[in-house]
This record gives sequence, structure tokens and C-alpha cells, in this order.
Amino acid sequence: MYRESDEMSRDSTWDKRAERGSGLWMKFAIWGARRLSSESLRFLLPLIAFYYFLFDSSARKSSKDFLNRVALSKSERPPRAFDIFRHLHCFAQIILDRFALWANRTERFNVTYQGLGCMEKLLDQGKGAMLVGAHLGSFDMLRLVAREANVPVNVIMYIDNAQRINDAFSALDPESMIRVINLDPTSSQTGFEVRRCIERGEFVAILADRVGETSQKRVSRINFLGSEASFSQGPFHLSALMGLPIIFTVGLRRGRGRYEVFMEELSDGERVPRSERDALVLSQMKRFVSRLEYYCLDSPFQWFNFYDFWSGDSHAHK
Amino acid sequence: MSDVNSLCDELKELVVDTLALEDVTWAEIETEAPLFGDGLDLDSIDALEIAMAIEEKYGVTLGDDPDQNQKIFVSIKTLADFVLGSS
Repeated sequence: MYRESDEMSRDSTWDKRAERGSGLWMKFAIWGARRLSSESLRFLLPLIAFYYFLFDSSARKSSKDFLNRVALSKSERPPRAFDIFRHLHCFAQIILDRFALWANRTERFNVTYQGLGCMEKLLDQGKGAMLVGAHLGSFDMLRLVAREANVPVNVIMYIDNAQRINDAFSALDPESMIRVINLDPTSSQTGFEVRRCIERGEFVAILADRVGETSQKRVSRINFLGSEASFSQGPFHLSALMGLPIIFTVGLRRGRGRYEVFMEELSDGERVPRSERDALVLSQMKRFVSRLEYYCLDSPFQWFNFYDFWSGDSHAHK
Repeated sequence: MSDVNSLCDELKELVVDTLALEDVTWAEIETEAPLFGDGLDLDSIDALEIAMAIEEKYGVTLGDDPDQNQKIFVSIKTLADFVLGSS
């Protein structure tokens, strides 16, 4: 990564070259996505999970803390070592599924949708919306959601060069409806890009459970599984400003190749005067967190924030 | 020139009012200081909010062209130049 950005500052044609898609990086990514989506790799997953179980003490610790909170909420027994292994194993399984999705091996997946209607209702009205998800289950299921609803979905994420990953995605799947937007908190541009997407009637998606390192001024502490954790106000503020409906989105794995996607409308995009916006944002964030908690209790082994999520320090996962 | 200056003052007020900035008054905003990153430390949501307020007040359109936008959203001065150039 470091070398790439170094090269970029020296060479103003770098962007153009990368756009042509002939870079070694992209070839490797495409090769990896095609190879790794092979079912035959599935037998490696327990070994990978076991490796992390043995050697990644911080993943083990955060897994245990999370599963313990879930157990307390459900009045169940505390997690044992095998539960932590299972948690890591589940993560590896979903990562392998992600490669298959990226490589457009969608025939391998049997997906059921709950609540797709709230998206279709907006599409009928020609309205875009903000899809908010979390590091729970597979956010990559959005790829299938976008195809099912036949609408482009723009995923906002921290990434150095969004163009490059977009090229890789379209090389792997020429009909891909997923586009990545770079979230650069120090730039003035991300909000405008979101607005352009919405004006085209497209959807915008973001994982709203983690707080970026430079967005300290838009953070709320909200009660989640027993104590307060930091959540970003950004996606909710942006929606409130633009009057965007907000839809909670999560894709949960239900077995080999089987996923269940849930979509729930959190807000219909009401506009309020500025003085009331903070209160609106906070109430929407609380709804988001409470739905997140609900699905965490449903599928705790699919929670993939392996860092101290409840720490006040939002840099903890870096 | 006085046009630009009075417009700059108007825009400073607009920024403070729009974002309900509490720890800074419009007179403290420097005309040529960067609005994003350093300076006032605004983010891209603030930028959009300012743009929407400017669009409403001056009847101009911002944000259609990303490259041009990058040049407009630098300082109060660059915003004022854009508004003057568009009206």
C-alpha cells in the first residue's frame, strides 16, 4: 500500500494506467478471487481458524468478550474455548464465500430475502436510500441484493483508490451493480458523491458499526449488549441532511451456500429543521443499534469485529 | 473588489449559521484559510450542507463536476469566486 501511494505522488499518469486495468495487483486479485472461490479450499478453514485461535490472542480475547455479552443477554452459559474457535471458523467461512461472490459464482448461493419490499417501494418511487449494515454476517450479499432489485449500490468505504477495486469488480463480473466510493473524511467530496448517486436514483451503502479514525467529532456512545460503545453519526447525519430513507441491511449465513438477507426500514427520510436534526440522528442511531443487537443475538458467531469494540478509543481496531 | 469582500463576509455568516458553529464567529474566519482538513476542520457532510445552503440562497448549482468541486471547496475566497462567476 505504501509503495503504491508513493508511486502515485510521483507519477501523475498513475491513475490512468491503473484504470486500464493492466496492473499486476489487479491480475493477482482476479486470479485470487477465482482460485480461492474453489470449494476444495473449504477443508483448510478449520486449520486457518485453529491457527488464529492459537496465535491471535487479541482476536481470541475480543471474541470471548463479545460471546460473553451475548451469553449474558440470553442468560446462557459463558463461552467455552470451542465457541471461540467456532467464531473464528465462521469468519473464515464467510470470507471464503466472499471470494466466491466476488468471482461471480452466484449459482452457489441460495439466498432468501426478508423485507426486500421496503427497497422495491423506494425504487418504484424513483428514490434512492442509505443502506446501513455492520460487520455481522456477509455485507457482500449486497451484490445479490443489487442484482435482485436491479439497482446500482454504491458502497462507501475507506480505501486508497476506489477506481482500482471498481475495475477489479467489473473484470470479475461485467454486470456488477456494486461500485465503491472512497470515504475520505478530510476531503470535501464524499458527501457530493453520495448526492450524485442519489440523484441518479441509486442506493448508497455503508457499514455503520465502526468509527473511522479521523471522524472523532461525529461519534455517539450508545448502549450495545450491556455497555456503551462508539458509533458513527456520519451515515445518519448525511441521510438526515438529504432527507434519505435509511434501511438496515444484514446478510446472515444459514448453512453451506445458504444466506438470509434482512432489510428493515429505519427511517422514511423525513426532513426536520436543523435544530432538531441531532435528536433525529440520535434516535435513528439507537434504532440501528437495537436492530444490530437483535441480529447479533440471532447469529453471534457472525459478528466480525475482532477488537475491543466497547473501548472509548475508536482507533482500537487499527 | 468590494463585491467580493462583501460576498465573502456573507458566506462566512452563512457557514457559521448553517453549521451552527459555536466556538467561532464569522469575523474570525479567514477568507483564504482552508475550510477542510486544517482550518475550520470541516468534513464532507459539512461541505454538502454548506453547498445546499449556497444553492438555496444564490440559485447556483454545486457538486456536479467532482474536479471543479475540489477547486471550489477550498476556502471562503474560492467559494465567493464561484458564486460571483455563476451569477
